[in-house]
Amino acid sequence: MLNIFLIFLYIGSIAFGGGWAVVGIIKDLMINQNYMSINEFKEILAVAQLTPGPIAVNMATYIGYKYYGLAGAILNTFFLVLPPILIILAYNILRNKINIKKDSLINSLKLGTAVLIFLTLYSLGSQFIINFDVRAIIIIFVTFILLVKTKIDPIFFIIGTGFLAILVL
Amino acid sequence: MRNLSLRNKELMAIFFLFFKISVLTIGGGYAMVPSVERALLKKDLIEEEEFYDVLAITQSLPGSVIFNLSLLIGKKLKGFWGAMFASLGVMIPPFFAIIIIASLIQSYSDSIYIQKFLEGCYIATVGLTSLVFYKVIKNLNVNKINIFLFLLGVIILVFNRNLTFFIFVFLVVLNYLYEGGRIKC
Repeated sequence: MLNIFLIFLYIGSIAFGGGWAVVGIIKDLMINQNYMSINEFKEILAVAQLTPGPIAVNMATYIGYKYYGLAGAILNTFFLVLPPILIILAYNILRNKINIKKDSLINSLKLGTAVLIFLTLYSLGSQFIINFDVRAIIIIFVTFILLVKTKIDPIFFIIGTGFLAILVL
Repeated sequence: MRNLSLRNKELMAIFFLFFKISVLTIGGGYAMVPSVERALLKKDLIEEEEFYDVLAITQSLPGSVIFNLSLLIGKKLKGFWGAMFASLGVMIPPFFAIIIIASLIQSYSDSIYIQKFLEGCYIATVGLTSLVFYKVIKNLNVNKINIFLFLLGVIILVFNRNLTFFIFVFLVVLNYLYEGGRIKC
C-alpha cells in the first residue's frame, strides 16, 4: 500500500508544468510494476479527462480508489499534492535567505517540462507508429490540427473520437 | 465572537468560489485559470497584476496549476486557512465525480462498446498531448544549449525511464547555470 503512495509522492514532486508532464510516467510505473494492464490504464486516463479537475490529480484519486477504496483515494490524492505544499512552506521560511534568478529558473523548468511532455507523448503514442496503425495516426493528426487551429474544447474531441471508435474500430 | 463568525463566512466564500469554478469547468487545469481570474476580479478580491504574479509562481511549482493557484490565492486572501478552504473547494468536486464514475464503470468495463469507446478516447488523448507539447515548445526560448539539453534528456530517458527525476534535475540545473543563474545562500 505504501509503495503506491510513494510512487505518487514521486510523481507529484516532478510534475512541473502540470499533469501532462507525468501522465507518461504514471503509465510506465503502473504497468511495469504490474498495478494494471494497458486497458485499465486507458480506462483511467479517459475517466480522468471526462471528469472535472486536473488530469494527474484525477488519475491519482481513481487509482487510489481502485486499489484501496475511499481511504486509498484520499491518501493517494494527498500524497500527489503534498510536494507543492511543502515547497510553498519551505519558500516562506527561506524567502529571505536564498537568492534565485526567477526568469532563468522558470525558463529552465520549461525546458525540463518539454522533455517530460515529450516522453508522455512518446509513451502514449509510440505504439501507433510501431504498429503502423494508419487510422489512429490520421485521427491523432487531425485532432492535433483542429486543436491548434480552432478553439473547440478538447473534451468534445475525446468524446467524439470515442463514439467514432465504436463505429469504425 | 462576531469576528470569528465573520472570518468563517469569508472562508466559506472562498471555498464556494473555487468549488463553483471546479464544478463548472471540465477539461482540467488550464481551462480553469481564466474562470478563476474572472471570478476574483469581479468580486474585487485581487488586482489583475497580483493575479498574474501568483500565476507566475505556480510555474515554478510541481503539480496541478489550478490546485497550486488555489493554494496561493487562498493564502494571499486569508492565510493558512484560506489556502486550505480554497484548495478543498477545488479538489472536492472532481474527487466525488471520480469516486462515483469509478464505482459505476467497473460493472460495464467488459462491454466491447466501452472498450472501443475508451480506445477512441485514448487516441484523441495522444492528439491532445501533441497540442500540449506544441504549446510548451512554442513558449521555449530556443537556443543551442536548450536544443542540445532537450535531445540529450529525451534520448537518455527513452532508453531508461528510471532516471527521470535525476535527468530532470540535471537538465534544469545545467540550463539554469548556463543562463547565468546563481544560487546564493
